Amino acid sequence: MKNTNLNFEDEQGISNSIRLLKSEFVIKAVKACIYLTIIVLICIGYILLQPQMAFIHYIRVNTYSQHSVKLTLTIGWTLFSTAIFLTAYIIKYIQVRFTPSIIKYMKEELNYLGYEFKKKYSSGLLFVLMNSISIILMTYMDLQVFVFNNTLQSILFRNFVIGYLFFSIVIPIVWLGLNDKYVIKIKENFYILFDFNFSLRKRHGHSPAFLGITLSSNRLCSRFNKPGKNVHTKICEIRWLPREGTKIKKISPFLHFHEFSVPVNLQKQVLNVILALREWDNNYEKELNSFRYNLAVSAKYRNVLSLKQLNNLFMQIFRL
Amino acid sequence: MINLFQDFVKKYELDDFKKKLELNGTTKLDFFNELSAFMEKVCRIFDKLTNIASLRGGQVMMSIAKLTSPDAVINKTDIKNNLSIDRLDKLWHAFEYLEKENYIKIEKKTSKFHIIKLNEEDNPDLTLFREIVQSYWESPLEIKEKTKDWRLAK
Repeated sequence: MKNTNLNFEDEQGISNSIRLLKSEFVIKAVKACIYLTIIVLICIGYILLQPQMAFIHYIRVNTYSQHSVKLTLTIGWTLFSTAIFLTAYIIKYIQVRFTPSIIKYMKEELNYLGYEFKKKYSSGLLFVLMNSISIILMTYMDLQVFVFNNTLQSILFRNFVIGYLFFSIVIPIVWLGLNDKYVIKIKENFYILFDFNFSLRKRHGHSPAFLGITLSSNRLCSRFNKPGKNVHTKICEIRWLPREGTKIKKISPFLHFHEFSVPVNLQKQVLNVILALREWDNNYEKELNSFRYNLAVSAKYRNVLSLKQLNNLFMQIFRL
Repeated sequence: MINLFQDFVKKYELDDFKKKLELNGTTKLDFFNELSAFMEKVCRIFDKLTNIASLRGGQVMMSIAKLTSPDAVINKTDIKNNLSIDRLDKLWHAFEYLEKENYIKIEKKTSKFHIIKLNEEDNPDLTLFREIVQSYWESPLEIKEKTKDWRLAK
């Protein structure tokens, strides 16, 4: 039986683990390519068969019934939206290099710390939910349930349908890009997200393959929140946390804690982020209150000053 | 807050041998706090550096230093628990390496019971290392307990 346990404790173990991860990733990529090919073939098949289907429909309408149902829009939209979403899903699936053995390894490591390693949200469910509404809309349109006498109503309805169709594809794809990640929940409103970086190619002058895990905390506060930024900077300095995370996080308007880890020091780095979150939880409110207090005091001082200035002005006027 | 050791020396004029170092009341407290802050930073540097290496040797050294006390008997399982590691085999290479490099001593009492000590006789600097680590380093086990308390608190 094939050993699927990863071991990063010695040179031999690391090279065996990397080999195992590579083989799992290749299998994953091949599977994804097969799925993608099947989807493309179905779409092509539908496009090619559509004239014939129209012809069959024409014969049926003229021969048997005047009220035969034609579901071109529904079938077309179902195939189109599913193909688009699945393509995005497969690209993401290949890009996120979590393989079964690395998931198992991380589950074991984090379970030992007392945390459950699981997937954050499923974008597939969101897609099914939004897309089923659009399919219902399309079916109604095919059945010609919506008939408008007023042109304005017709234009409004058309724009609404186009807008909804657009968002029913875009929202699940954006959701997929941002939220389909592995996570450990620490406590209410605090969690850590995991990204796995794994280079397949051997680089010149570097170790055979780089295995890295990026940890990012939940949103802490806005980047423009001054007291929040002060606390964040202080904690990052003390805990040696990098200020910026991945490319997406760099442009994010929110502050997060980031940490980079390799499998060997995963537990230690996770504990470092958890301690940072604990410090944030303990210090943010205090810093915010002191900031508010200072702001109130300075405003009061400014008011007192302006009153004094006003008083001086009156005195000067009276003297005149 | 002072960040450089040189600033610290300058503040208390430690390099001026003509003047006496007079510490009393709050000055003494400040001096002690600033010295403690330095030691804490040194310890943090140890901690970070020992996490960079691919082997766990550095962390094992820190754990032994933390657990060492005149009446303590430390074995491999104590270190494993202190570092919050699930399996002892993850530390085998580190023990092997550290023993080979003469940083630790392993006394094999029985086939399974091995007593581990820092080799302070051959490496006198390790005494200071132990002292700093014992006072300022938080082991993963301690951190785990600390985070657990925070997690369960409402």
